[in-house]
Amino acid sequence: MDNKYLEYTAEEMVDDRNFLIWLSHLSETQELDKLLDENPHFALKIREAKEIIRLLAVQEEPVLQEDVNAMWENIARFDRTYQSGFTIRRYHYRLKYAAAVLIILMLSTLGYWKIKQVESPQWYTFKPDTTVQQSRLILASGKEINLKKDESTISVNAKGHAIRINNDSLIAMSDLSEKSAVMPMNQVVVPYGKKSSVELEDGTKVWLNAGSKLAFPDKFTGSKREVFLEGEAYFNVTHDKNKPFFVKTKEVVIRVLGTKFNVSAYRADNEVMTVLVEGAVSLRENKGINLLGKETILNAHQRASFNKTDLTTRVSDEGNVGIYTAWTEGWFPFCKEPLVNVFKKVERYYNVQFVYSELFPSGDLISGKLDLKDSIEDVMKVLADVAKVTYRIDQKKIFIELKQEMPMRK
Amino acid sequence: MLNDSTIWNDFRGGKGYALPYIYSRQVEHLYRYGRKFTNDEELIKDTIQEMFYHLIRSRDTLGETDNIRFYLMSAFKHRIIRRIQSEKHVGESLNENDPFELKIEYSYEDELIGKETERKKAEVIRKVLKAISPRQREILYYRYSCDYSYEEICKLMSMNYDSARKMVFRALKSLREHLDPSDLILLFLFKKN
Repeated sequence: MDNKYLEYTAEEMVDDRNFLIWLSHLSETQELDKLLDENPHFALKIREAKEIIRLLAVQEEPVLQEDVNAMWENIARFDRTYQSGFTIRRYHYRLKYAAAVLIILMLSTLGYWKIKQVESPQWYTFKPDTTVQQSRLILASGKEINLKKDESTISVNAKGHAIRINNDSLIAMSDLSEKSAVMPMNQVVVPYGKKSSVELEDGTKVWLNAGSKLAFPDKFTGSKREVFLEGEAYFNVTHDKNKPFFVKTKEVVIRVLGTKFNVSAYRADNEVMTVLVEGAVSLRENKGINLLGKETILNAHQRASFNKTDLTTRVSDEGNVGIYTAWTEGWFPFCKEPLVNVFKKVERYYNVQFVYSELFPSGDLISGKLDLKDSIEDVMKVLADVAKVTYRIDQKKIFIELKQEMPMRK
Repeated sequence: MLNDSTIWNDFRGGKGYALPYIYSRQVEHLYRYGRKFTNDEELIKDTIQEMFYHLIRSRDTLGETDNIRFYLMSAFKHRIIRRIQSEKHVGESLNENDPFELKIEYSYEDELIGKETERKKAEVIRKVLKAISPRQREILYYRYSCDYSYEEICKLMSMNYDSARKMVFRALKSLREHLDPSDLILLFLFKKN
């Protein structure tokens, strides 16, 4: 036998499955009695353990079969309804169904929508990308407005009745929001090479980086404020303890009361990165059942990276949060950043595309600072020097090659 | 024999057998789990149904699991706590992880209370079980009634491995400390089997 068992406390016995298995095997033989006689202390512990186990035994009442059946009927009906919801939308042009059947299906679809409205949507489907070169504001009504400037500003007035663009034109909002149960969303789409800033109805300011999209309502009705983000944005959220502010990205949901933080959630990147400048926020994974993923609390000057592959969140202290927010002021500092990441960002800021020779880009870490107000030509001069590469600009394409004299690095 | 991963993936993939299969194997367990939080059976039933509606609706965005019961219990726990909190209007409790007084009652307790002849014995058990906090009862329930590993408990209760172990051992210890020798004898007296 295992001698360590003789030293066990009653608690250790209860919590060790191997011990319990061992004990039950042993109790079928004469050996146990002998062992207990020889070790009175051990015997006492076993008795205590047995009592604890008896106390813990939960004897469950049976569940009524009629309850089980009644719930199943509802769930099975919901399942059929949900499937037929799809069927209707897909085949609505087929009129061969009898009217009666259609009405029944439509009623059940309505039922589905009614349920759907209760929960807040997990993700917002942005309008698919087009090759438009300018930033655009797409109103909930479907109306599209070109924002013209490279750095456009959008501001929703405090009552959510109008939107001001680039500090001059004013657009009246529809009264849609007053009537419908689901808050219609406006979208800002910022292509590569452009930036935009949005002031929301509650005074929250959002700076949108190149290649980003934000969906926001005219007005924050209900008990929470909710926006959807793809790409990178810096938020300065107006404090309102009664209405938490949610930033939903496809993978991560960030909840705040009032703070400043930067979120980078580009589709092409493998990580969703949140860097907190002030206050505290909580993050969780955005999935069908949000509940399994645990909540991560992020404090000021911390960075959370959610990895899309292994679905884990890593939190680290960030000595210089300024690096992550400098883009709002037109700077792009990078410190020991893999070359690949720097090039990826330059592609976004300047709407260019790098074409690499075979062995490039390397995993080398580089540090430096780019002024994003400079032209791409100036930026490339600096970057090529730091990265030790040669380049050739051909319109929107930039061909990159390692300098010949450079020895190959690991 | 189908394993949980396969069944769950089949459910996500929309195979017809999976939903009734999962439902029939998990519903009673969920129902009993619900009773640990509330006596309101309508609320329990509503919560179970809503959870399944949600699973059906978001089938293709659900994560993977190799332990369906654990997956459903986690989901169920959050849902029912939310429902209970919203019904009680517990103010603006933002954090889902706020300590919530879970009512895990061992039926050992219920079963004996009310039977006049056994009142004295029941009192002893009451005293012993009262010695531990609701959260300790909760963790003991997961550990010994649901047979969950510490890793799983950590996820359910949002705590780390060491604190989970510590909490279990502390709870067991206070149970043990309340078993004084005369109680021990008393407990033996109404041993059921």
